[in-house]
Formats: sequence, structure tokens, C-alpha cells
Amino acid sequence: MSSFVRWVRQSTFLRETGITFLSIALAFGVGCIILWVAGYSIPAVFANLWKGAFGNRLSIGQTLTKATPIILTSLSFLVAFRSGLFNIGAEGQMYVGAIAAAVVAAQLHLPAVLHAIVSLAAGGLAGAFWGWIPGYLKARRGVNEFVTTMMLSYVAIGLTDFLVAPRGPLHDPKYMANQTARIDLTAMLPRIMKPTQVSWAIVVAGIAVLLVWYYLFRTPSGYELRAVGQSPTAADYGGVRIRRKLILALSLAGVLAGLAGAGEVLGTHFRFVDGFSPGYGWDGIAGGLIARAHPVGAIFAALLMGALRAGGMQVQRSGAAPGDIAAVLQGLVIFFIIAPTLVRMLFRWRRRRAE
Amino acid sequence: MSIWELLGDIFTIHLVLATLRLATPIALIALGETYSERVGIINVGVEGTAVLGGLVSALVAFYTGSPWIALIAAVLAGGLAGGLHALWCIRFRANHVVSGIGINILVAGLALFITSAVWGWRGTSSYSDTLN
Repeated sequence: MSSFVRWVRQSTFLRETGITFLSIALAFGVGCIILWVAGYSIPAVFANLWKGAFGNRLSIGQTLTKATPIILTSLSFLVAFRSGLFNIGAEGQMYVGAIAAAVVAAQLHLPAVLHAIVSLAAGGLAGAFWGWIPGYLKARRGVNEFVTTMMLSYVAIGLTDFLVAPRGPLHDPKYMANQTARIDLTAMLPRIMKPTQVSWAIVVAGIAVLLVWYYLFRTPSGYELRAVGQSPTAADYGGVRIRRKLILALSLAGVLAGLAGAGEVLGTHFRFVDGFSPGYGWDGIAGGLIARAHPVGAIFAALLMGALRAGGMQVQRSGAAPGDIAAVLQGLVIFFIIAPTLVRMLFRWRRRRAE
Repeated sequence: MSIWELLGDIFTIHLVLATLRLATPIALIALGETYSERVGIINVGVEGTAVLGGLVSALVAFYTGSPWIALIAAVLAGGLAGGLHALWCIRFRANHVVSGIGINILVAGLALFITSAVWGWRGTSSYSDTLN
């Protein structure tokens, strides 16, 4: 029993989780103050937020559908983050992955399961290429990856917009809308929670979480990647080829974001629709931070983001307050989560070890 | 039409004026970022700081009708956002880039929330004709 008490007192896991939950609680507290100042009913807003996110089968489906790509974009952010890089470009990598998956899924004709896997792989590869460019520029030319990943996002969004616009090469002439042709039945990821849009994409995201966890914490290559992030000079001394690791980290980040886009095409929309993402790539930045750069945490962070998005829509519909309160809450959560020192100070938690 | 006429059509006085108008906010933001970089703190949150300034000036101008009070309020709001960033980076030892991203996401949400709460349109304030 005493060993259990000691474990509770000393566990970094419990302490980190506790700080995370307190940060989220603080953010919601400040959100309440904003609602109160603006003159909205706090109970009505939170009741609708809950109803829209977890109230019934349909809203749970909404939350899971929105959480699926955010799991993958959060992983994309945190893999790069672990190597000391900022991948702000998950949004663009996602668009590139989505259009590649849509082309392969509509133009190739393969047997059922194989077609879906090949399409997913195409999305991942396209995303990898979009992540490799800033990785190469960073490693070989010292270009700030923060700027290149973000700018390449706008390139990707503009490029895909051009490809699917009327008279663009991939535009589906049957409709006026900016979108590609519908993908083959064989490439679709089956829906698993009808009538909601939850599909096998969420299983793909779950497998990605396990693989990223295994890679980062159980393989030599993942260990080296984390070493580069924690201390490049020490890693260099230890014989790690830093430049290769940086390129690898951003390429992997691209693969994960590309899979997010492919999952949206193959499981949710069944075609590439221009502007299909309401900002899942940017949510991944928040998700990766809330997860404290841990792959398993990404699941819970993405669920929180997905729930806020789904709940925000219900708040808007109900008229209790503008639905954008969800975005405000999201920003507040980030703000408190990145300052663990603040939470420790507020709750008078002593630091047990010098960090 | 000769090439010179074509170029004359492109490079008009209006182009110069439009360039100056569009360069003004960028110049001011770059100047602010320079201060931050000089003391060794990266401030990615300048985008959010600028949006906050715009939001606050629209709000204050809407309620007071005075562009000068609105300008002062916007400057104070920008200082507040910068102070928040400084507090987070220096006192709470948060990562500079991450804190800046936090400001951007928070202000983007606040701008949508406040504009729809006050004026009823998502992301647009109403036109104030006292400011002409």
C-alpha cells in the first residue's frame, strides 16, 4: 500500500495528466468569464456544447468524425516537435495527400481492400513529399522550417483549388462544384457507425498512434530522433546523423498529415472537395501541444478538439451564443497548457526535481 | 499597343498608392517584430496582436465614435497582447513559438466570437459613419 502511495506521489504520468486537466479546467473557467461579460447564459452554452458533442449517437458520431483527421495531424505535429522542429504545414500536407488519394481511388481500378490501401499509401506518399521539401531545405540550406511549412500550406491549398476548379484537369464535369470525380466503390473505407460518417479512417488513425508510439519509444531510430530534439550537440557527439534525422522527421510528419487527408477522401467525402478541411491541420498544432507531444495523448487531445467543433455547431444552432466560443475555448486551452509553471504556481505544487 | 503603353497602364500612380496602403500594416508589424527579435524573443503572435488591435479599434470606434480614442485603445490592446507573450515566455517559461501560435488561435476565435456577439455578423464589424 505504501508503495502505491509513493507511486502516486512520484508518478510523472499522474503529475503531467493532472496539470493537463487543471489547464483545461482553467481555460473553461476563463471561457465562462468571457461568456458572462458578453451576457450569455453559461449553463445554456455548456449544455448545448455537451449535447452537440456527446448528447446522442449522432453527436458522438460527429465528434469522432471530426476527431479522426485531428488525431493524425496532431501526430504529424508531435513527430516533428520531438525532433525539435515545428511542422506548421499539416494543413497543406493534408490537402496534397487528399488529392493524391482521390486521383488513385478514382483512376486506378483494383480489388476491394487493396485499392483502399493503395489509395491511403498514395496520400501518405504525397504528404511525405510535401514534408520532405521543408525538411531538405532545413537540413541542407538552413531554411527556417516554420516559414517553409506554413507557406507550402498555402501553395498546396491554391494548387489543389486550381486542379479541381471548372476547366481544371481534375474537375468533375458532371457538377459545377469544385471537386474531383467520385472514387471507386472498391477504394471506399467502410462506414462503421451508420448513419454517422465515422469510417475505418478512425481505425487507420488508431493504428498510426500505435505505430508512432512504437517508433518513437521502442526503436533506435526513434530514440535518435528524440535525441536530436532534446540536444542536437549531444546527438551529434553520439554519432547521430542530424541532417538525415531532420529530413526524416518532417517527411514522417508529412506522411501522417497526408493520411489524414486520404482518410477524409476515402471515408468521409468519397471525392476531393475543394476546401474540405475546416482547419484540421491547424487543430493538429493545438492537439499535439495538448497531448504534450505524446502519441497516446493525441487521441484524447483530438477528441477534445473534435468535441469542441461538434459542440460549437450545436451552440450556434441553439442560439445560446455564437458557435465561435468553441474556438475561443480552444485558444485558451492552448494558452494554459503551454505554461505548466503557471498551473503549478496557482495550485502551489512544488517542483520535486529541478527540470 | 506598344509595350511602353502597356507598362504605363500597369505602373500608374494608383499602383504606388495601393502599394503604400498595403505595405503600411506590414511595415508596422515588421517594426514591432524587430523589437522582439532584438531582445531574443521570437514573436509569432504578431498576426494575432494585429488582429486584436483591429478588433479593439472597431469596438471602441463603434461605441465612442472617436477614431482617436479607438487608436489609443488599439495601441493599448496590442501592448497587452505583447505583455501576455512576454509574461508567458519569460515568467512561465513557455516556448516562444508555441505561445505566439496560442495568441493567434485565441485572437482568431475572439474576433469571430465578439463580432458575431456585437454586430451579428461573423468576422465583420458594422460600418461606422462617424469616422469619415
